[in-house]
Amino acid sequence: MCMLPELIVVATALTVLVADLFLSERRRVVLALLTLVGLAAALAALLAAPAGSLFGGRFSVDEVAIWFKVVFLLASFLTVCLSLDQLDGRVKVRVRGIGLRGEYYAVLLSTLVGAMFLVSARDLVTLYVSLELATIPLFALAAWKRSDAGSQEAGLKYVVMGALASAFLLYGFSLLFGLAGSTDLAAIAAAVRPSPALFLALALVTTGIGFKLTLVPFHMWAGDVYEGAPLPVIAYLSVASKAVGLAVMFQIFYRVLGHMVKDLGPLLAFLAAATMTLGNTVAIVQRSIKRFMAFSAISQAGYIVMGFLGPDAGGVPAMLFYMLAYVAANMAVFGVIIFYANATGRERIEEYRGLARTNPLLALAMMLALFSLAGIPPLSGFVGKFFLFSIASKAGFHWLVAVAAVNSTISLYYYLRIVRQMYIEPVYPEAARLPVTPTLAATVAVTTVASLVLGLVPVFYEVIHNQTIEWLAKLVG
Amino acid sequence: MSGAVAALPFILRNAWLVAAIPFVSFVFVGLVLRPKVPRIAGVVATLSIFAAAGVAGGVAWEYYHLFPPGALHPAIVPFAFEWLRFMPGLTVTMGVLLDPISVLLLLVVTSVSALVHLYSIGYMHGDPGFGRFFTFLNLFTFSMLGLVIAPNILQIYVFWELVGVSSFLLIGYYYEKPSAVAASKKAFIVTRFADLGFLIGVLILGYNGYTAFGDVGPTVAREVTGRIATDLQPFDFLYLTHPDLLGRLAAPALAVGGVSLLTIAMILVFMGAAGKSAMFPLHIWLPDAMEGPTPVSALIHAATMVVAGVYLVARLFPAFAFSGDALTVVMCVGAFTSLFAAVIGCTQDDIKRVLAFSTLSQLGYMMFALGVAAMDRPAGYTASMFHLFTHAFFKALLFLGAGAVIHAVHTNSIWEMGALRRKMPITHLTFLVATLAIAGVWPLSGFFSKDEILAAALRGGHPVVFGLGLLVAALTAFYMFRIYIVVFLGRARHEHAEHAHEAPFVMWAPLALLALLSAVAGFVPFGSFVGIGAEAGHEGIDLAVAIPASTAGVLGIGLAFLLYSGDGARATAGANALGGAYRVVKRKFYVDELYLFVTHRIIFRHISRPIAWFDRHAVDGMVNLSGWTTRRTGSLLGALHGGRVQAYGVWLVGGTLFLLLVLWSAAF
Repeated sequence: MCMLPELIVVATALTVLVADLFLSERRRVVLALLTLVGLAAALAALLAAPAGSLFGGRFSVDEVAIWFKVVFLLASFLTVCLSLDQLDGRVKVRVRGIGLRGEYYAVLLSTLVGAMFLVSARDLVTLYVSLELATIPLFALAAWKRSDAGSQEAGLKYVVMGALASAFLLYGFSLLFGLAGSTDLAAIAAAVRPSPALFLALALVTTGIGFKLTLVPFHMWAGDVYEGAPLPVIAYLSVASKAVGLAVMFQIFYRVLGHMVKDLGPLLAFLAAATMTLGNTVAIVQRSIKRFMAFSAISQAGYIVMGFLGPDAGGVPAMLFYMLAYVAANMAVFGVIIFYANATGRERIEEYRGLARTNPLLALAMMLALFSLAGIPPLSGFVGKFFLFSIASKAGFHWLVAVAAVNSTISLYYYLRIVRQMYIEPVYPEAARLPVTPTLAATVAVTTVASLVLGLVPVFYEVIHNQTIEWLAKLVG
Repeated sequence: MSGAVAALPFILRNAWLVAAIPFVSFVFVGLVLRPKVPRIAGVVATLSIFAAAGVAGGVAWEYYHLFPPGALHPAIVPFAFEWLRFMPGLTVTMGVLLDPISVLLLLVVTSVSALVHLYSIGYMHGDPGFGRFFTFLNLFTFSMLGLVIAPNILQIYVFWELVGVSSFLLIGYYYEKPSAVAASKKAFIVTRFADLGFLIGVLILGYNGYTAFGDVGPTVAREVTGRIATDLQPFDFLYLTHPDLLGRLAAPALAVGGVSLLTIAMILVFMGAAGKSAMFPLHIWLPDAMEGPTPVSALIHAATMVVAGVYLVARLFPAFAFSGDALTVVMCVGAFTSLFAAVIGCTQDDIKRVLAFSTLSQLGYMMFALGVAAMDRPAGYTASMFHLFTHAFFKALLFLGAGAVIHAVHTNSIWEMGALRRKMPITHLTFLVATLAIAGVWPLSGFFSKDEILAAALRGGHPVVFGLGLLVAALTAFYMFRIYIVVFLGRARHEHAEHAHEAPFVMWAPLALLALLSAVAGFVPFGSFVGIGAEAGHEGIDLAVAIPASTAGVLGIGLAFLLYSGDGARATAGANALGGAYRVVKRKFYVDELYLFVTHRIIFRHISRPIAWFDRHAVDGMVNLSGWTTRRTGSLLGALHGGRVQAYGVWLVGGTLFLLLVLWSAAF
């Protein structure tokens, strides 16, 4: 039963929603636990269930889909762990207007369901509907701080831009349907030939994907939305929502255009270079840590796209591994950001000064995670970047590798800015050790250790590689 | 591990313990005892070195049991492990090489080091850095032993630098004293500069050795593994000193400007050896190194580390001999240093500096002894090692004796001592033994080894070097008796000298042991233990050499008594009569000033400053410019994200159009 994980998530969402009705405000603490149990069960079901397909091949689970779903489930699990302190009010500095725990978890789970269906979709309509399911709940989540104008602004901007991108994507899909006469992805792949109509469809679809994945110049919304949305939502946006974009890109660029993806190399290389350069240079001048993380995440998207270059099938495992490493590192960083915001309400980079003196372990975790994002050996970010760069290099895009290397250096500069604040700048007067809740501590610890272990122990990459290296060959046949 | 290795006695297979014991002790003393209970650091450190000396004794016993004295003494590699594997066929091992000279050095280093450790317990008593001192002393001993047992040139290089570091740490032991800091830096920089040559030599040898390994390696390996050794690697001494390879390196095809590549490589290696053994003109660091505590001077700067250069030349002797020209360089540098330092030694007032110049002179002796040897006339090789052996004992004794004196009178100047014969009888007696030994008086050890060297020079067809050696022998006797007379005889010249007391037992016991060794070491039938090639070294006393040498010694002693007994007025008169020449010698021929002139006035001012300016302004300017550009770009691009959704929409639509145009134009 290969749809079991999705069904468990749907059931959890409904259960949470219904339970929310019958529980008193104090007892609603259990909702988070319920959600976590559901997610864990779904993950177990995913890893236990074999690959397979349903509905005459319209819903299909292969190796790549499984890894994407692992990323989605892990990201959601970690997001819930990061959210529950704020939602339950176990914080020093209250977040204005956040609440409605039951709805929050249910909405979060529904966007997750959309993401999970999307990777298994084999039909344009299913693909589009799941993508909308994965996106629309995020608009609501971005505006979740109901009495906070910034959050409302974030939600509204997200809706406007999201709708625009969605319209473009839908237009592109309709052109694809028109060209092939079928909504089946495999049938479209067999039918399409290079033609002006296909180019238009491709440009439109890339726009839609670029919006999700924050590729330049479709990324503009990210800064404003990240700045206003609640912190745990940003954590989810920066990780899971990007993985959704990557999954759609897999579906279109590999499944539909697999036989011509190598001809698109120069264009993708240009998008990658522009994305990482813009993300990195703009991140340098940011003061707010949320906006800073927005541009950091944009630059990471630029690195990931390098995996599509070239004829080498190694790009698939390289991108999946990088996604996993990125989840671990980014969630660790957000764990510390949320901890600090919960304890002090501070969200500016220079306000992190002296954190290493008051909470040395958390500062260490933050530093390691930032180093992983910057790609410092032996952390997993380095290993992931190494594979992606080697894909680009094998495909002959040496200039792109040079640009990426320079960008890594720039990114090290701005990640080190935070480390400098934590370790070198003087501590706040009368600063004392800040209390940390067990959930946050555990989340940060687990993700930091994962960032290290993924880099140090080669077995994780080897498993992903062995399972997915054949995937592209089977697809293009 | 080959079968032959497995059949070796236990102690030979585990000869690595000699170096491992001091290392473990270094870590333990340094990390545990030094911060917690520094009082027992000295005892533990000393015991560990005595244990290492015991192992070294066992190794020597078994080695000469396996290859009895008088017979051929092959080199064996009873233990090795892979350290770095660059690629198949290019592996660096760490291991143990045993041959007569490494066994000899193991004995010398461990025994002298053990006695110096013991002495230091008394000498350093109550010093605030007591634990630190023994930590460094253990580190040094470990490094020196690692150097001695190195089976390949990379291992010797690694430990070569480690002894350099230990020497640096110990010279600068009194780091609150600016002169000690300056001396430690000077020692490190000068030897490090010399090691640059060594490194280039290693690279030349290693690269060419590696490229020839495929051709020459198998034949060499067949021959060498016929002896007892682990697998042969391109950096191994057994390979690098093999005639097949040396023939390759000396081939005219590889010559640069008429000089064979082998000669160039060996001269570069000798540059490193000359730095460590303080040969002219790289000798300037050794006199200043006397800023370190006196036991350090005795161990490192007299008996062991400074002979590492001599040891390196001996280790690579077949290569030097094959080149010929390189060996001539060794001989000339050694002979000149020997005379040069002896002349300066006659004029110094600081007791440790006199001994330092004496060390330089004796190292020059060992060097030129190697220089006069050849593969078919190995007498000089044996003689050099013999002198290394005896010198280690009597020079360590002289330094420790000087240390006891300094400990008692709290000054280094010989003119503030005097009449210590009665106050410090044991120190006096042992110092006298060592003085007689270095002056070459029969039957003490120096007589025998010096004789061997002079005989080797004469028979090797180097009469000039022989004459020079005689002159140096006379000078040595002179300056040693000069300090002996001034320090121990006559009247007390300062109130400190009147209140001097004999050193405590832990200090005089090592003195007595070393005096015993200095006295009898000459009777060891050295030639049947240490040699290279088939022919055993020269044996017995050759009157044609012994008579002139002894005469020279007696003349020197007589002159010292003539000038310095009584009130020393004759010496002052003599110095005044020499005038300018005496001042030049007293200022050590202005070599230090010359170095300062060249470095400060020429290199720093005309080369370093312009480079520094360029770095400060041009290079840093470029770096700052790139940083500024990046930030500026960031600000400009950041301004695009101003918050207006309409603008975002325009960018999105524009991006779509751009993609479309690119796709379209690429297709046509």
